[in-house]
Amino acid sequence: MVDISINSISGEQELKSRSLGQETLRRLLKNKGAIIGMLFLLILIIAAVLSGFIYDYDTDVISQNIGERLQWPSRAHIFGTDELGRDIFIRILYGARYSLTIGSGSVLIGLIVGVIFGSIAGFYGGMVDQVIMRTNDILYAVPNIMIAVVIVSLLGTSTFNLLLALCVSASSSFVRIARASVMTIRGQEYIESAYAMGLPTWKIILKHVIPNSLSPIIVQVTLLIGTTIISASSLSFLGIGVPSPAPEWGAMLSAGRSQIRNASYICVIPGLAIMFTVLALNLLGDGLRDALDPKLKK
Amino acid sequence: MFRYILKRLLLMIPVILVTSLVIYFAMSLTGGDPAIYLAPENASDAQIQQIRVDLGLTESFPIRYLKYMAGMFRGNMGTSYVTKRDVFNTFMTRLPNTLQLAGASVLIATLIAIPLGIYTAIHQNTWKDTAGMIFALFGVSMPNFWLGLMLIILFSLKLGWLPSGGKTGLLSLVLPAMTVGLGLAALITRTTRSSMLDVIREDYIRTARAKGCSEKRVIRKHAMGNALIPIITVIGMQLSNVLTGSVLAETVFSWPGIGRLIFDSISKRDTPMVTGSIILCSVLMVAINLLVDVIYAFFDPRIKAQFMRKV
Amino acid sequence: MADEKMDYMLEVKDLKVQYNTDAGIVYAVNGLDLCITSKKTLGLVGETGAGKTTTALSILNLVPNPPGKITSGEIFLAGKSVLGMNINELEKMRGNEVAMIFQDPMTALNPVMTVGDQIAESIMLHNKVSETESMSRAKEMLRLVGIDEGRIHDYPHQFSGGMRQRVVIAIALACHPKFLIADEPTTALDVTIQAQVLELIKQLIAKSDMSVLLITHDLGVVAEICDEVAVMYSGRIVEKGTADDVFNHILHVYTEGLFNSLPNLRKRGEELRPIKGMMPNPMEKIVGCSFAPRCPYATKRCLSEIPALRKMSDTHFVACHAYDDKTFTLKGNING
Repeated sequence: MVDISINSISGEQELKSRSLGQETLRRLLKNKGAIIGMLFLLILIIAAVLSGFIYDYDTDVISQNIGERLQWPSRAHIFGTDELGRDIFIRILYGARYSLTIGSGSVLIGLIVGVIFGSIAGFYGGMVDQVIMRTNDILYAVPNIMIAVVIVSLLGTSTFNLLLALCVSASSSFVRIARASVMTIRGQEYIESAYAMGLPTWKIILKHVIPNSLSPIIVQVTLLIGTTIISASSLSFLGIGVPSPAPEWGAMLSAGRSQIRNASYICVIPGLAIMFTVLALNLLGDGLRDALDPKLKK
Repeated sequence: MFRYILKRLLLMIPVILVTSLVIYFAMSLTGGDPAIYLAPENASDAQIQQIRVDLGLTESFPIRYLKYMAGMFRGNMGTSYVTKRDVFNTFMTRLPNTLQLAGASVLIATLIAIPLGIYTAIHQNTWKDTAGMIFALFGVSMPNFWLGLMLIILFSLKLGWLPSGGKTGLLSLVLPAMTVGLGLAALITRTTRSSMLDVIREDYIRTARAKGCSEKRVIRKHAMGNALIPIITVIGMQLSNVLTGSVLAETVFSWPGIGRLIFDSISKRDTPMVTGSIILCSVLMVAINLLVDVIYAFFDPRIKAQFMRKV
Repeated sequence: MADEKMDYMLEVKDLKVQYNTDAGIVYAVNGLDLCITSKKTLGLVGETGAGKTTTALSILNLVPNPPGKITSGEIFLAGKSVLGMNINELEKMRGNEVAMIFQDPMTALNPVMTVGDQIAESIMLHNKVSETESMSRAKEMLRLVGIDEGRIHDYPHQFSGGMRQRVVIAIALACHPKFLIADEPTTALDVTIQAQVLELIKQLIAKSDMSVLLITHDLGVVAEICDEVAVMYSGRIVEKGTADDVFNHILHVYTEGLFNSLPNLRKRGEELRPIKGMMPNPMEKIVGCSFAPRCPYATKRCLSEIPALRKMSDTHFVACHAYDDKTFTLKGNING
């Protein structure tokens, strides 16, 4: 072959190199949706944290005040009061604490567990891989609400059991992602050259495998927190999530059902809270996905 | 193809066995004593013990399990503590209701989502795309049981057009199906759009245009045929979510399906019903997965070839 | 440059194409002049990034419209203005009078359609024939490119790279086009398969009356197949002539550099001699001759005025100000 492309090779070195993190951040900040999402989440987190200091759980959040029950939103109670006279605005703010902690907690723990198992499966292959993946297939296929149902019926209704159930579900998607990343990267040439250079296995994993698997995991975490918040509220709605009188948003909706005819605002407001929180997470997650791999968008 | 299906059916068996074993074991730990529930009032201890023997409860766990599974094939999975009725029958009576709900939901979802997804992909980056995407984003972010409540407030309470609960005819299916279907539609719209966008960039689309295909034909014949494959995959993956969505919708609308059944049984600690329905549910889901995989193979000749070869 | 008496299949005049990307505007083609005589094969040579594929796509008006845009110029196919055609005329012309083969056979075929259907589609789009008729014609095409007819109902994934490219060729030639554009048709193939496919293309060209635009960065292919050669640099043509003109009587410094950069198998110990410097960044608008920064003969004029293609003989043209001086010749000192 009489190839003249040798001339192109000598010229290709002058591309500006920015670190991956800087590039990603720049692209992310260009995304208006992602910024809205981040701002909302920031405000929500601050509100959730502050509400712990401003309001006292027993007097403000759960104490009943029958005289003031079922009042529509007004200046005294911005979001109105529920069927037991409790101020809904305060309960919503406090409820953010539940949603955010349960959502992010279960996903992050699920992440660690899932990545460990997935990486082991992908890296070693063979029997280990088969066992881990078959078990994971079952967990992945069963919807997280069902898993929660089983765990709750075995162990009882409590916030901890809810968390446990959600962790189990969350880990199953990470097992898949981690395994796929490890397997793809394992086969790539720069790993072979790393081996050839004599790097020990754990170093290869740390320096090469993990940074490259990071992108899909970051996106998945963000989006999964949103789904988990919805699941947690669904389970609380059904009565097997966070036990009452805790102001979990789903539980508030469940209680509000009986009042749907004359106090419909009770059924609207907590749902809006859930929706906007998850919306913010989705906007952020989509933004991260576009920022981390622009090829996907174009 | 048939050998593939047969192979998958055979593979179903260990999955069902393992699942049922786990559930049966777990339930037997917590289930309470059926004999006490089933015995008439004022029964003596000896009578209760006799009931236990009759029910086979005194035998060892493996034997009880095997007998239970054998019973499943004959349609006998015990009696509900609460209703005193046959577990298997109760499940089977309510199954069609859930299937109707699930079917209607998937129908609504695909009828809305696939055209919308294609439309937004073709008009990418215009206001039509943005509007469609905003709709989809909201749809994916809202809990479907809340959507159900909103629909009730609007269509039942304010407008009075549709019933707010129970199964009372075709109209009563509308709101529950929309509750599950709209959320699903939002998800499928996003998938369809991104699948179309990926496919449109492929080289073979350029080849088709270079051949002289009109843009309409490019979309209809070349893009859709390829874009549908991941869309069907996603729909298949969502089927179990449709089931859970049904659980929530059934609760909100008092729809007599198996989702509601499982939940009521759990809250009433009706162990035989819980055990039986969860096991039957898992059988159902495995069967549906198989169905989806087979449909999938129809659409993608590469997968079909793999299947044929594997066996 | 075009002579009124000659019969030209393709005439491109001052074509300018740019891509409006997020990162800035990419000036892919910057005033390209080209013509191909009927029934002749022209090799368009240039490095990666020179704008060859964009040029080819422009001929069919297939440049992806966002982000690409043809900003000026004219393209005539057998006398008809391509850029003036409406979408119906374009669709009638594509695949029918003009066909194009692309570089990567692995992705050029629709994975869920049989190869028979893909060839037959081409036929049915442009001819009123029945399905059976088009299928039998498709079988003929398979035979023509050396594939067993029996494979007509097979899917692309069942073929190797070389065979897929043959299918691509079969699709392109199915309607007996008058003009074929081949964009690096063998680059993505294994070396041994390349020779086979090239041989096939050579035979098919000889058997028909087609005019061909063959885009490549392989000078050996050009030598084998092409009657005429055009050398492209940074979106413009810098030298054009018959194969003999360009190979044996090099006029442009860049062309000289290209030939010099080829490794000499007889003098294996020698160092490779790539051309010093780099092709300009396509995102910067160029003033003057785009090669000037790397050219040992460059003058002040070269940096401000773009050289037009100058006629040096009936067939040989070069874009270089140095030839203002009638006694100028290349001294073989491109790298100083």
